[in-house]
Amino acid sequence: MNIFESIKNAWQMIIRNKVRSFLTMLGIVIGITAVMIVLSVGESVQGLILNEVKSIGSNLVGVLPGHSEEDGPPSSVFGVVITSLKYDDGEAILKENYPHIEALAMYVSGSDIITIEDNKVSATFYGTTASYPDVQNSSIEEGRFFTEEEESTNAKVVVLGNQIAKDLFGDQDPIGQRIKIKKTNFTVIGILKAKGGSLVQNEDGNLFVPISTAQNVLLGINHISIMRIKVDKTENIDGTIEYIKNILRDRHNISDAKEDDFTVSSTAQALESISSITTALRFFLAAIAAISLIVGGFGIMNIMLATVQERTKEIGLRKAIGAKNADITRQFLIEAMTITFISGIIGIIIGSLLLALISIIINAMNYHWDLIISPISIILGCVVSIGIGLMFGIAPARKASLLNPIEALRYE
Amino acid sequence: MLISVKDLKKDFINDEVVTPVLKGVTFDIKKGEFVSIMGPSGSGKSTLMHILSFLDKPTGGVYSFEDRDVSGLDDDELAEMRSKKVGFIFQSFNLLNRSSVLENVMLPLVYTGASAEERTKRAKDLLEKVGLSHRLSYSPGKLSGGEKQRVAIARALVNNPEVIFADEPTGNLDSKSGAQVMKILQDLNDQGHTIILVTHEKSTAEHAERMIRVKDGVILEDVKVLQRQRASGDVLNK
Repeated sequence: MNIFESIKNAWQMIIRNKVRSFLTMLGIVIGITAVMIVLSVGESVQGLILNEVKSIGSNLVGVLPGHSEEDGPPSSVFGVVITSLKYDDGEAILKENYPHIEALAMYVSGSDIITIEDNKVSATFYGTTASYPDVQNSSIEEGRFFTEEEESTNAKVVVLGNQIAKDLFGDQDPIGQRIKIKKTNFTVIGILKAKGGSLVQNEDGNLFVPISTAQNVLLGINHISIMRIKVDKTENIDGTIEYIKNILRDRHNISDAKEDDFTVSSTAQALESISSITTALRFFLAAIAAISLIVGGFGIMNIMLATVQERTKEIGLRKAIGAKNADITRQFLIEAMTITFISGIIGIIIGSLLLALISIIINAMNYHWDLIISPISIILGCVVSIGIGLMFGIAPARKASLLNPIEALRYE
Repeated sequence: MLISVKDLKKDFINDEVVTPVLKGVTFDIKKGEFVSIMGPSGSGKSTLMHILSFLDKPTGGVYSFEDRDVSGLDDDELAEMRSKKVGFIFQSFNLLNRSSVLENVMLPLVYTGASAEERTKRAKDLLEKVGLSHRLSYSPGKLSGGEKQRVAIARALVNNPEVIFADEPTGNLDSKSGAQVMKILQDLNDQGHTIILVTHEKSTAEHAERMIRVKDGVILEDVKVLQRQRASGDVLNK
């Protein structure tokens, strides 16, 4: 009934004591901003992963050297060199003509400073198989990819990622040009189409040479660092993984799965594990949100106690002219909730602006990032802020309602 | 009978020390009377007024209002009585400076559940009656003392109370404004309103038609005012 009057009172209180109100509202604003970001970033990360899966293909199975503990990745992911996986393993998997395997690519990688005349660019090169474009969904913009024959005969040919081709050659046509990798001359035979950034690898900035060349000429190794297998249909992934495991165990003389010196998993699974990184971030933000909201809540309680004190005489008057205890409680509760709600709205606005900023920055870094301002986070922000007002406003409001009208009227 | 008190007592208890403030007072007030309760400070007159106006509860005796025993009402019931049956005029006006004159006058109606239109109309009518219809949107802080008390009178009337309690209504006013306020109270009484005036000044008390003198918690005398003071001036638009 007198809700509007209470809201007006709260508004006037905020306006009258701008600095005090700002400090009081800060905790709630930060808390709600954090809530916004926690919820919305989570959804954006899901979008990022989905996009990643789409760009690499969801039907990929990866084979990494090294045993994986529990569900985590094998230690080779963290840079430990494990030499258990060989080129012949890949050949063996293909030899059986398993019906659901469409293509298999193998990789080794290294990095070097690539030079052409005065132009120096630091880049990562991959030694891979001729099946690379098929497995990675890449296509050739100009020239060609290397052949299966070149793949196994130490051919000194190189295919450039779209970006590095521009960096090295600018407007010149790179096809047929020579570049030096680890002091060896290579002939550029092709350029890949631009693909855009990805969490797993940035193809546009890489160079691709035949795997035998990389192993024998550039790196002097005989193991491979990863294998990727394209499966025909998603539902056949699990069967294919079992098939690959059996072949590798057979070849490596392993009888117990616990002894595996390799790890087979689908790309989709691997990407899911990325979201576990963001879980940590979300816990951190959630903790900030909770702490700010609690601190903010006590700030609200404090300011409401002060306002009850300041307005003792008004409370006395209101009671004298007929306000019941419940009317006074309601008035101060609505005032507290108005303040926290306004703080919540400010938090939602700041949170949205920050999310927009994050999206602009990440997109500028060439990653796919949807600007998602989750409606649930807005609703939750409103509900939580009002809830904080209710929770921390109740004690001051009760205090106000229990004032003795005679003493309150005499209060100076 | 509008108000009837029998052997009304009030003790204040502080740290187990019992201080009797009202030691048993008995009187009746009829509808339409203008009664002043007079006494020095500490006489118990304020406590008596607080009980009569439902701000406080007696610790003994019987208080009947409109022939109904109201001695044992709880907080909410007392608030209901204050909301519907009484209007207050205070020495220090007790207006809310953050609200406009009009909003101040409407305030009691907020707690009676009157509609917004009804509140506005009633408050405007009363502000016109006390000659302040040109000040509706002012903050009370910008008004003179006399004007403030006239706003307070309009506020006291807005819920159509059975009794108006005026607690030292001229205490903070100069003599001219004080006379105006007393004139309004007398005019209201002439129009049928029951008024109970609490004061320590004999000259003010003599504006009423009946005077109850209180001292040390008992009634010294309860008399008709023989030479009733008539405030001059004409502020109240009829």
